[in-house]
Amino acid sequence: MSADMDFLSLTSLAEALEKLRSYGADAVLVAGGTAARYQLVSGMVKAKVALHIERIDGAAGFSGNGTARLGALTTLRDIAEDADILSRFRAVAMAAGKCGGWQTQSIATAGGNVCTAAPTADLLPPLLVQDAEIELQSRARGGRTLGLGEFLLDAFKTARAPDEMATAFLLPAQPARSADTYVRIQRRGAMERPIIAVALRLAMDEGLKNVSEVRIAVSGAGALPFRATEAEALMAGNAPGKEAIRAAADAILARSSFRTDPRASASYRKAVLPRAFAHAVSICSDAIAANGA
Amino acid sequence: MTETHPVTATVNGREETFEVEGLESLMDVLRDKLHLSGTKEGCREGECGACTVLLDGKPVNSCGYIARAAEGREIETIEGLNDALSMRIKTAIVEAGGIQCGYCTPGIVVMLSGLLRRHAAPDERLIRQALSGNICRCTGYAQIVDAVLGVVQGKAAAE
Ligand SMILES: Cc1cc2nc3c(=O)[nH]c(=O)nc-3n(C[C@H](O)[C@H](O)[C@H](O)COP(=O)(O)OP(=O)(O)OC[C@H]3O[C@@H](n4cnc5c(N)ncnc54)[C@H](O)[C@@H]3O)c2cc1C
Ligand code: FES
Ligand code: FES
Repeated sequence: MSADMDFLSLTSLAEALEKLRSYGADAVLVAGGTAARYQLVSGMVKAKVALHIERIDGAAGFSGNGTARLGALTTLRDIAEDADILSRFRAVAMAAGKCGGWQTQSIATAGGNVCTAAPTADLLPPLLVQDAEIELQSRARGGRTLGLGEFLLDAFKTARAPDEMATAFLLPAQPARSADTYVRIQRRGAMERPIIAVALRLAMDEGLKNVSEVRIAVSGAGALPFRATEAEALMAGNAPGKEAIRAAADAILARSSFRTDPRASASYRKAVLPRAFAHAVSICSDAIAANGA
Repeated sequence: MTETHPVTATVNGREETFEVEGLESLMDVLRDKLHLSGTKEGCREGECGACTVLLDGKPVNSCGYIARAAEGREIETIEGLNDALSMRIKTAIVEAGGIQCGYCTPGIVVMLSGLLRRHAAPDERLIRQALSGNICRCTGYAQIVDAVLGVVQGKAAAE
């Protein structure tokens, strides 16, 4: 039984990469373990050895002007409370603060959230709208970075090679006159997975009249969160008024496929997504107007 | 027989060594091996907060935490929370009528100790957010939130 597996606690990245090289696909990484322990105990994931990376030195924290670097081992609670992340990448902090209770967020990491590639993983939409890259390191080949969209292959499937560990996320600076937000539709105020979620990054032109660029990512509308690029193209150059919002929402729906599950029916998801999107647009427009005033 | 592994950690200020199987949870070790049954078992899946302990000062659900990952770390359970701040929290909850059946209470006290160590003066919104992972079937939370606000105001007045 997998619960009898070996368990190695590692303290340095070099040690972790060395162990990953020797064990490869027989190893599973455990950061906070909030998802991994369940996957292993239930037999959903099988491995001979668990490599505990939670306490590796130097892989947590947020830094950098311009392009920012978010260490893969940064905990969700630290992200939710980081003043710098809140002011520069608000949606990322908002999403981190919605994952389970504080007891989960205290140990759950950004790397674990993204690498699980769960359909409802909360960090995915806000990182997708920032065009974030994931940095992967291996002993054999050194480091590489991949756009998050290329990293995520399907539900619970990523482009991570068996000997690689995710070490950071790179977030390019946001443009002037922009704002981002995360709208998450859920049944209760907390302790729920999202039914539908929308991350939005809106940037306005100099007159604050027309959209210069918009990025939209949705979850709950397909196997994994995705960028609604057709809708983005429709909105660019136009005023973010009712008509533009409706046309963009239709374009998002055209790319979506909805499921019925215990949390909500497919028809409810379809009905609520355009409203969540419109709400996100108004939050961002208001924030940009308030900053410009 | 299942193989076990020794783990050494500081539990309530004392160094303890215990034998752990595979991916056994910290909650099961605390309750069954160290007989610290103040840490309660509710859902076993991270939803109810009854099993909350402080791990290096941070609130964590012990039911989902791999005991072997606690090697060398500092664990505080409800039995060990006798510092002045924790005592004020406990007294305030009793005085505000924040306990009925009491099953959630240890987890709530541990969570609140973790909160007030990190944020000395949380407002009601932050207190409610922090408690969102602690389920109480009896009280309706209002008395518990009042108790914390009382502790915060008392602290402010004393300073
Ligand atoms: C009660 C509860 C509620 C939850 N609610 C939410 C929620 O609302 N939203 C949400 O998104 N998630 C939720 N989760 C899931 C989970 O807590 C998060 O996804 C969390 O961020 C995972 O982080 P972790 O460090 O615990 O990952 P782990 O459990 O340690 O790892 C998860 C997976 O990622 C891999 N991994 C971890 N770190 C790395 C790395 N650096 N490089 C490569 N691979 C790595 C592991 O091998 C494993 O496959 C919840 C979990 C629980 C228990
Ligand atoms: S028993 Fe741990 S959260 Fe419920
Ligand atoms: S007092 Fe009964 S569950 Fe809280």
